[in-house]
Amino acid sequence: MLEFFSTPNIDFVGKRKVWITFSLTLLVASILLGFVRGYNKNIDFTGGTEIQYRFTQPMNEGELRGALEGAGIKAEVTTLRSADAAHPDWMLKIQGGSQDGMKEKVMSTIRGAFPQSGDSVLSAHTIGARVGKELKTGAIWSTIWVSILLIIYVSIRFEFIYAVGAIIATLHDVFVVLLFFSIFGWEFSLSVLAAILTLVGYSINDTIVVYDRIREQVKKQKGVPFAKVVNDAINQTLSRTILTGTTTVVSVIILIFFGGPSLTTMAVALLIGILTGTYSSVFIAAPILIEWHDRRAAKLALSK
Amino acid sequence: MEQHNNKLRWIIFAAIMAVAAWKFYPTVRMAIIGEEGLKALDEKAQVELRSQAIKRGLDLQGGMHMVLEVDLVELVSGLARTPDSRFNERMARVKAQTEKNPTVDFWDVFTKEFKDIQLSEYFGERKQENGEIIAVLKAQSDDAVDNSLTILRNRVDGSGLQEPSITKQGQRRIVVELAGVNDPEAARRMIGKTALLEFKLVDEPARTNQVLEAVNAVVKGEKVVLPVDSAATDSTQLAAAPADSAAAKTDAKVAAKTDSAAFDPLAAKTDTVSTAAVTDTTRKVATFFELLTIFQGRNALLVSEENRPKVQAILASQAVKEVIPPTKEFLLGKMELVGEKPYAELFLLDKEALLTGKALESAGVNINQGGQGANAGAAIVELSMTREGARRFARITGDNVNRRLAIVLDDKVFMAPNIRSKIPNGRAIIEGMESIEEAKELANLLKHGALPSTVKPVEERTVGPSLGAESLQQGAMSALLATLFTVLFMIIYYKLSGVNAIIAMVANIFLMVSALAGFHATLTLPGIAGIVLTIGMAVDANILILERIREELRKGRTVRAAVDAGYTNAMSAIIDSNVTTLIAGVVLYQFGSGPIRGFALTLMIGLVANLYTAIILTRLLFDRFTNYDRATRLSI
Repeated sequence: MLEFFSTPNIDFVGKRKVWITFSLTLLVASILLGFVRGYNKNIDFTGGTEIQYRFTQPMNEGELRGALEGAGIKAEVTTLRSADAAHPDWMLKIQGGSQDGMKEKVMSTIRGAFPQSGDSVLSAHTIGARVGKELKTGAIWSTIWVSILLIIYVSIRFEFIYAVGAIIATLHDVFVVLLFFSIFGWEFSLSVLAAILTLVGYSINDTIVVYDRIREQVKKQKGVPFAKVVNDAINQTLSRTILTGTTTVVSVIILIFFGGPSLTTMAVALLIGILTGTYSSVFIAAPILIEWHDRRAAKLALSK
Repeated sequence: MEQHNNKLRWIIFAAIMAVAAWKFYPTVRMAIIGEEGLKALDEKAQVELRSQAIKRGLDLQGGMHMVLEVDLVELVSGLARTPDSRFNERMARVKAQTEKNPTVDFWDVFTKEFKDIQLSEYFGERKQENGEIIAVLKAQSDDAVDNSLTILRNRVDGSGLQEPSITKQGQRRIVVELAGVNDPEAARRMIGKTALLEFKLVDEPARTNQVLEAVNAVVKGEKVVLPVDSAATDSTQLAAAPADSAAAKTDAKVAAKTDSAAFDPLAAKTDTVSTAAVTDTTRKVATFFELLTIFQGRNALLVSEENRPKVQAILASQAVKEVIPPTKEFLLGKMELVGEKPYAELFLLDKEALLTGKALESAGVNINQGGQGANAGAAIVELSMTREGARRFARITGDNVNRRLAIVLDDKVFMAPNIRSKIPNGRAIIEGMESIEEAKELANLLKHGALPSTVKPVEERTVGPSLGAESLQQGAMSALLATLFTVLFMIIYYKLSGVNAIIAMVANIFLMVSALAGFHATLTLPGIAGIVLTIGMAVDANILILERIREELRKGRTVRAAVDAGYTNAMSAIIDSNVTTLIAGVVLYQFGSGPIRGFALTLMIGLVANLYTAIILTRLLFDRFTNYDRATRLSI
């Protein structure tokens, strides 16, 4: 039998206060940074125009930007990985201001400034500002809805405190992903949002597996300290946590490298989320139960 | 587990797989024969195959996705009777505020800005309350969306676009999806142009026949060469070639390409098609009349769907144009089912419009109270004209009793009712509607036809076909690699028991893609990401089970007891974890639009398929191949 761990007995919960503090710090940092620094939202949210170009001739970023500026267009110019290794594709982004006829203006400017470049438009997106704002409200609402429905389900199947723990662990994962996007200024698009909402599902999934074991062990190990029951449950599910984590993480890494430029940021968001999702199931979701259990026990002792 | 039950389970499994294979087959077939092979099939088979195969999203096949929204500022301004400077000033303020803060509700701002003004000065009836007027305006904005939907469908129908999809989203938006558009600019112009509603007089049948005879004579007597791009605006290319030989005069005269794409206004550039015009793919038409079908009951000339492009091309050719009186024009009607086949009626009309949509004040649907026999209880459209419109309408109807008056939308005849008698007061009814829906559509059109274009694009995404193909290839590659890795990983880690999990995973992927085809769902690029992620997660349930079996074996249980306990103990974790993920998927689907929905859908289908394959299928495989009743060792 090939095994990573046969019967591990690692103390996961002993330093729970450290982990919880660490994670709460991340959570708070992410929220603060989100307010202070914000995110590099793409046109899905801000409104604007995005045009993906391919040229048969080598192009220069400065010249491209210069030509557009000459026409009064303030564009962000970046390169993308291309199927044709010789030349990268180019992404031109124009955010803010009126987008009426912007695409045509950009296309005629490029054609005029570089008549020999063999330009072709691979894709072009124009999105009004209103659509973007609605998307944001929609995202917030759907997170709230997912949370409510999950609290109900988990409360029915487990206990209310399990639901609280699962939601905290999940929100933690979401905010860690957001933290990365805020710090590194990665582009936040509709696909990234979808990835984050999916992570909510994944993270809960992972937490539930650990919780399921705790639920089972609580019944089996009567009279054993709750912290030990939880720690045993984590150890018993450890190999599964790592195996599933591995197959999922590798799949997502494949997506990062082979999925093409349109999926890269989405896959990166998924990767970070799966890693933190695995971490939070073990180091946050489970310890929260212990903390709560201890406090309730202390309260009961006091009231007696 | 009892053998008896397993037999039933195997039968169910075989049935599920058979249905999946049946649903998936069209996709495979389409991939094998490719675009070329598809074109070789006849039209009906093409449409059928396309609709049954997995639909690729616009991001994977190239195309155009547009979201249009009713411009309420323009709509309300257009509805105002006598907009004065005060009104315009207030509207400008409403516009500025709604543009500055896109999330505020237009109606809130409008109500606030006009609270000290009697709205009845501009809308509705005298002394009507502001609140009532606003309620009416709101209802009219809803109608405007429906009307735009009618106008767009009317325009796209017959434009040669493949599977155009035009749907309403929420209260104010319309989503237009055009797959495989080569020229997005042309499509945009077509979608974005202002609708034109006109009333034109249909010529008397006798006169129409004369003109048709003349056209027929030209077709018979002249060699009219129709280049493939005959629908292009450059009419110099449509020049009639001189009749140079006697043989040519008696023989077939019109060469029209049979490929209907030739008349697609969005067809590719001219340089690629002009050569095609002289090839042998052209079909010869002996007379113009053979393209027409006479419908006796209505004394109408009908053009079938396959003849329509040819008729359009003939009517657009220079030689034919010369014999049509300069004040007249031929226009086609909507495609409608006559008997079993769809036909469009051909009309000869006065070029000059007698009235435009501006002459109309209102239009509504009612049920015919009077009338006899078949007419009683049928849906009718009631309309009333403006004062100026009523005056002209009285004269027009008085002069043309028993002639037909065509309601023309964007150069297509929407309907051509008969004028029964003079209508003096500008109040008319139109009968002959097949359903309430049809009446509503017409009433809506008449009511709003006069308004300038009130929908504006708020979102537009175009993806070129090459990028779409690249994305599809990269996505498929990722899915393949992820599968390969997972297969290797499971076999190395779990040996033969891993093979079980792999069979389950492959069945899972298969069920997933079949379900996509079966539900007519659209596969998008994020959807492929969903599949790849599911591949990674699909083995989770099996890992849970196999880990449990290992645990039991470690405790020294027999193989049989271990497998039984493994499945039983893992069950609650599998169900709870999948249901929670499913909840997230459902919310994502509800909230998401377009590509996100595709992602959520693949994820959900994957989860459900996963529950089946991981729990039931692997168990069957264990039972069948490990023969663990007697086995003392399990390859795990």
